[in-house]
Amino acid sequence: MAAEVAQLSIPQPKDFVHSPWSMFWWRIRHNQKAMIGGAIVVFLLAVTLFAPLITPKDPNDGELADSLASPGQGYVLGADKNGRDVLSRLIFGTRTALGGAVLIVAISEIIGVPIGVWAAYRGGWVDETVTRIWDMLLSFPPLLLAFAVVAAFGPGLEKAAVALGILYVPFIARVVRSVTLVQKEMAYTEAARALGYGQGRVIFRHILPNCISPIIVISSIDIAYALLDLAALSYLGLGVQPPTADWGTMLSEGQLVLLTSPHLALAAGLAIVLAVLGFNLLGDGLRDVLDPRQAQR
Amino acid sequence: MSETALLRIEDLRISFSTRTADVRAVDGVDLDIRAGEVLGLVGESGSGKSVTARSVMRLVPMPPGKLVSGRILFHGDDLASLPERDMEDLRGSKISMIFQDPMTFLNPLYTAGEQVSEAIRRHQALDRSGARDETIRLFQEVGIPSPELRYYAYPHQLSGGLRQRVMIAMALSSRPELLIADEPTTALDVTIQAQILALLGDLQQEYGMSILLITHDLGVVAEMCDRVAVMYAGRIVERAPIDALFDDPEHPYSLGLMNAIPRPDLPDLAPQPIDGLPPDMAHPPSGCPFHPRCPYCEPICSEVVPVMRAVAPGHETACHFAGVKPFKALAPIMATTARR
Repeated sequence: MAAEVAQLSIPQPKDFVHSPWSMFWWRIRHNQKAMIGGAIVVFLLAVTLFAPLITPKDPNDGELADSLASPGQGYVLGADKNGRDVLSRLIFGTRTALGGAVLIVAISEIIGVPIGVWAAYRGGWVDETVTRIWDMLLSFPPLLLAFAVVAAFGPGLEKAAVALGILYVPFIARVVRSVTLVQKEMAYTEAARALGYGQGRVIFRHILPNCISPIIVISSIDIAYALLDLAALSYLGLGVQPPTADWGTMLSEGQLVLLTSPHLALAAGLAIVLAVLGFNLLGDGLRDVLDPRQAQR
Repeated sequence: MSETALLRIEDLRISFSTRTADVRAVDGVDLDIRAGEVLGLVGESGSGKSVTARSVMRLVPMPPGKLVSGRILFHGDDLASLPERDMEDLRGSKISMIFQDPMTFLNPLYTAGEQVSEAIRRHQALDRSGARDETIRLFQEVGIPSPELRYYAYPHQLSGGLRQRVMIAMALSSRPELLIADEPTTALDVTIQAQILALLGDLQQEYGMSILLITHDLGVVAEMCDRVAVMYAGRIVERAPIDALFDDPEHPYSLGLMNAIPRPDLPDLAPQPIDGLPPDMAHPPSGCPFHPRCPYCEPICSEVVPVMRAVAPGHETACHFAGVKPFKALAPIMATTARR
């Protein structure tokens, strides 16, 4: 009996040998926020991917006779003033909105993460100069600068995305800088240097992975902001151009008829809320999941 | 003695610039460590021990740190002027370091085994599985139970003592000639402390390496060291073989440190603290840096900086009155009593 008990309490090698991915999944499955947020994001991604297959009608083909039809009568979510199916436009709008938001955040991260790490790791005048420049960028309201860029180069989704992406660089870079500053002073960074690791290995294998969770959290929040800013630009007619379906444009069209046909603005607004909520929840959940100190207690 | 010195530090001066003043953290340190020797570097917090040790590894952040003068000769090569690439090759292979705080020196994102393997593969031509086998062998050697299991354990799953052993395995993976141990036992509890010291002693014998042991615990010094250097306010104030220091301290500061050791064997004798505080190194006192706190202070002490001079073979001190005034401990201290 005693031998049995002892045997049970000794952890076997296989208990430790989980591939990083299987452990990651195990932790995600046990995190409610990550699951809900992940489900919403996966749902939106699926909608993006299969948009042509699941739309009931052509999003750009209107039946003027059905202008502003209420939900029900042959249109699940009604029709807009041109008689186009709102649900179909909403589905295709997911493509524009998510694609644009992801592009914005991707651009800001590709530029912002290396700048943030570099500024923090080098310190001194490099740090001073870089932070001054992004403080300058931060002192402008991002939308205002985006207006200026769009005014100079003309409206359009890609231009708006690039402009916003660059304007988002300081948001990501300063977070990366501050977490790198903390990690740089950690004993294991010094220990890594004491083992003869070069600058590149210390930064990319030891410091950066420890900064991942804040980066992921800030990304999810930035995607939510990017969705909103892009929608705002489109709402003002500076981002996505008609007839391309987009949530921001739908919102601005819906606003004109808000009192008579609220379903238009409501559908677009709820879609934006759902997407923002999904990314925020996912980011929050991932922050918990990605911290190995939370795991295998 | 110089020809057998493995590491030789000459007139090392390091200052840190702060907003208001330059702080002289290390102010003219001379030190040498022979092959196979354990040298203790003792002193209060802020006396410059850690900065001295880190400067050997060139891990002092510059700026704000600044090497004012000095040479650090390792096998005759000046480390202070070595290109960074060569220095990197030296770190972790010929010279290794272990640190004080076992909570934070291991990267929390990788398993203990992965980190040791990485260190091995940095300096040795071993493949993944070879490095893994070597890691497990090292884990065995530093006394980690069930090494195959610990290989896959994350740092947070290990106790402080085990983490320190992992760190030692990492530092010794390339059989260094010099190990710098910066207060390796300060953060551990007493029983673990004794185990780690014993382990370090065994490994030192086995590998024949030199150890620069930084500590503020004279008990640890008595346990481990062949020679001791006492540091105060960025300077070495006394250098002596271990027994000579405990039998016959020739600097009032060393004496003060000894009188501050609690003596459970002599219950009537309360430990005597050294009055005053360590000097502000932005504005060090004139003359002997210890004179404001020294019970034997004379007018000359605040005017003339004492130079190191020999009072016995291998025993040097920087005090005007060494050998003149009788510096006597309150109770006789021998290496064995400090050993507790």
